[in-house]
Amino acid sequence: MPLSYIWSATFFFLIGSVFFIINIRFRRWMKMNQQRKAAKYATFIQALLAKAIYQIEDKIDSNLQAIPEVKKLMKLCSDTTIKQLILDELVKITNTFEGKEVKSVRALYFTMKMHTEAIRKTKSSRIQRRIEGIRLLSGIRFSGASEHFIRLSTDSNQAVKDVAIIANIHYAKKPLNFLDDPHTKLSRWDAINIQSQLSKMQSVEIPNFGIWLDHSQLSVVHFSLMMIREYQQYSALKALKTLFRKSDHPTTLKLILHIIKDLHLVEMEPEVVAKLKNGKNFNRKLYVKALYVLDAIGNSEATKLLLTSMPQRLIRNRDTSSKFIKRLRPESEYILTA
Amino acid sequence: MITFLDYFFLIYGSMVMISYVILAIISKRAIKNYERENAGISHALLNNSSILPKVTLIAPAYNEEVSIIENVRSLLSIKYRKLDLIIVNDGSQDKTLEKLKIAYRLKPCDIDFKKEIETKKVRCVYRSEIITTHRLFVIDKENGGKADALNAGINVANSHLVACVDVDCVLEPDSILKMVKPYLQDKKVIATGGIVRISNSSKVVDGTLVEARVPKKFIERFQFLEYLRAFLIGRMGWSKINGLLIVSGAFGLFRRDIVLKCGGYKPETVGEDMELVVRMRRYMHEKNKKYRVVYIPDPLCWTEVPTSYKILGRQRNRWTRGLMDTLKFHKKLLFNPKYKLMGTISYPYWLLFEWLSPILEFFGLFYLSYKIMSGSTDLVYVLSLIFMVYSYSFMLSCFALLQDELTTFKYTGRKDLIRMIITALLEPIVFHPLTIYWSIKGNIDFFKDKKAWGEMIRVGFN
Repeated sequence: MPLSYIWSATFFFLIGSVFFIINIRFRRWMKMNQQRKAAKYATFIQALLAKAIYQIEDKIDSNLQAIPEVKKLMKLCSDTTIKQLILDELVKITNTFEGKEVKSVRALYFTMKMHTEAIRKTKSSRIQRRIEGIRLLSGIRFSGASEHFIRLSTDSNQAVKDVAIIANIHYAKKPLNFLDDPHTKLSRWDAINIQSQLSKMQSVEIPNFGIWLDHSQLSVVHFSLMMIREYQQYSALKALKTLFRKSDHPTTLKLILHIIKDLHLVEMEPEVVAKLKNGKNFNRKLYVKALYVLDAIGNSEATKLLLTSMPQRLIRNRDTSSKFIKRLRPESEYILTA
Repeated sequence: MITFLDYFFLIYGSMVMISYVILAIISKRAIKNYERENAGISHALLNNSSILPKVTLIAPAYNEEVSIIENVRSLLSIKYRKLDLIIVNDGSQDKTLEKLKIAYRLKPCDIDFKKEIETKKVRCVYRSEIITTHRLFVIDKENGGKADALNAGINVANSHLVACVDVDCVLEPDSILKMVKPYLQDKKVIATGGIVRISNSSKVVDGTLVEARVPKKFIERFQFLEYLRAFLIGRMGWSKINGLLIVSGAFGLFRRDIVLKCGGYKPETVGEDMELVVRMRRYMHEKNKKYRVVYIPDPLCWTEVPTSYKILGRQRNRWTRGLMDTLKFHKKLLFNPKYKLMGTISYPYWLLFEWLSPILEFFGLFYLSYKIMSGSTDLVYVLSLIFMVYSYSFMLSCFALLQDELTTFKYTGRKDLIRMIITALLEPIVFHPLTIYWSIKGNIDFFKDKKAWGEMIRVGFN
C-alpha cells in the first residue's frame, strides 16, 4: 500500500475522532443550553400565561389575538424550547384546574392554532413528530382527537402505538374503541400497557370485554379473556359459553378454564364436561387443567378422577399441587381405603 | 520486496477494520431505533399490570459470605411484580448459607420439581419465611461450578422466563421490565441481554446504584472503554442483524423451555454463557423455528471489574478458553449455509476476528520487526502503518463514547470526558498489548487442557 494512502487514512481517522468528540461536546452544550433557557424563562412564562388566561376569561368571545399577552406568547412560540415550555405549562394548567381556566386555556390553544399543528404532526412520516402530535392533542384535550388516536393505535411503530393507546384510554369517551377495528392486533406488551393504564385510571368505565370475544384477531380475544378474568366480569358468561363451545385453540381454552375457576362459574360445568368427554378437544395439559377446574367448582367426579388415576408427574405447578394435595389428603385416604 | 505474508496481513487487517466500521454503523441505527421505540415509556407504570409474565432470577453463589446479604438485598430491590429469586449455594465452604439462613429466616420447603437437567446433588431447597422476602428461594447443592448451579436453578424455577445473573451484580430497578419487553413484543425472542456497565468508583446505596462515576484507576478505565466498545458497538450491531452469539453471563434472560430442550448450561466449559446461546440458536435452526436474540442498549447491570492486572489476566485467559471451547464444540457451524447467518457470518467472524485476531497481531508484530531488522522495509513506512491503526482505534473509542452519550448521559462532567479521551489515547499502546498477551496465554492453556476459573477479588461498593 502506498505511503500516501496510509497518511490519508490516518488523517481521515483523526478527523473522525475529532468529529465524534465535538459531537459529544455539542450535544452536552445543547442540553445544558436548553435547561438554562427553560430555567430562565420558566417564571416569566408562568406569569405571562396567568395574565393571558385572566384576560381571555373576560374577552372569551372577542378576537383573542388582539390581547397583547396572547400576541407576546405567539411571538415567543418561534423558539422551540420556549414553545415546549409554554405547552408544558398549558398542559399542567389543563390537568390541575377545572371550569373557567380550562375553557380559557382551550381558547388559547385554538388561537395559537396548536390543534392544527398537532394534527399535522400526527400525519408526519417521522416517528418522533407523530408522538409529539399525539401528546399535544391529548394535552389540549381536543374533542376531535379520538379519530387520530384510533388511527395511530394500529401504527406500525410500537412507540407511536403505545402513546396512542395511552392517549385513547385517557381522553376518548370509549377508552378501548380501537379494539372495534377488526384489523387491530395486540401483542402481549400492548395488553400489559392497556391493562396498566386501565388500572391506573380510577375514573375510566371498564367496558364489557365479552363484546370482543368474537373478534377476528385471536390476540384481541385472548386479551379480552385476560381482562374478563382480571375484572371478574360475570356479564361475559354468555359470550364465554359460545366461545368455549366453538374454540379448539389451546390458549383460548386455557384462558377460559382460568376464568371458570377464578369466577367459580358453575354454569360452565356442562360445557367443560362435554369437552372432556370428547377426547379430541384437549391436549394432556389442558385435560389436567380442566379436571382441576371442575374440582374447584365442586365436581366430585373430577376430584375422584384426579386422586385415583392422575400420575403425580402431570402436576407441574408446585404451588397448585402442594395446595391441592394438602387440601384433599384426608379424602384421598378415604378413597384409597374404600 | 512484497511477499505473500505482506498481502495476507494487509488484507486481514483491512477486513478486521472494515468489519468494526460496519458493526459501528449498524449499532448506531439499532440504538437510534431503540431510543425512538422507548422514548417516554414509563416502565414503572407497567409494573402495575397483573398480566405480566412471571420471571425467575437465578444467581449462583460460591464462598460469598462477605457480601451475600447485601447482594441478595440488591436483587430483592428489583421492581418486578412477579419475580422469584433463587440463590444457588454451590457447595460454599464458608458461611454463605448460614448467613442467608439467619438474615432471611430460611426454612426448608417441600418443592415439587422435576430434574430436567442433570446436576450435582441438591441437598435442600429453602424459602424465606419473612413476608416481604417470601419470593426468595435458596438451593443448597454440592459444588459443581457456575453452569451446574445455574442448571439447578433452572430446574427449580417455575416460570416461562429465567434470568441468569452474577450474584454480585447491581441491577437497575427496572431492568427485568426492560428485558422482558422484547419477549412480550415478539414471540420469536428466545434470549435477551442487557448492557453490562462498570460500577467501580460508582456510588451504591442499599444495593442500588445512585451515582455513576467514571472509574478512577487506569486499569478500570481501560476496561470501561473496552466494555463500551464491546457492548455498544459489537453486541448492538450483531443484535440488529440477529447474528448475536453471546449474551453476557453477568445478566441474561432466557426462555426456560428452550434452555431445557437444549439441556441447559454446559458444565464442561468455562465459557458457558456463549456456549448456551450458540446451542439455543443451533436448536432453533435444526428445528426450523424462527427466533431472535436481542440486546438492549440501556445500562441494566453494573458489575465490578478486576482492579489488578494479575486477576484481570486470569479473567481474560478464561474468556479466551471459553471462546475456544464454544468454537470447538460447534465447529459444524463453520460456513454451513444450513445455519444461515450464524453459520456463514457470525461463527466465521468469531473464529477469524475474535479468536484469531490477537494471535495474528502477535505474529504480525514479530514479522514487522523482522522486516525492519532485515532491511526489507522502511522504518518510516512501518511507523506510519502503526500510527494509522492507532488512530483507527482511537476513532472507534471516540465513537463508543458518543454512543454512550446517546444512551445513558450519566457521565456528564467535563473532566469525565477528558479522562476518557486520555484513556482512549493510551489504551492502544498500554492496555491492548496486554490483552494480546493474555489471549496468547489463554490459547496455550487451552491446549494444555486447563479448566480453572481463577479467583476474583472484589473491592466492594462505596
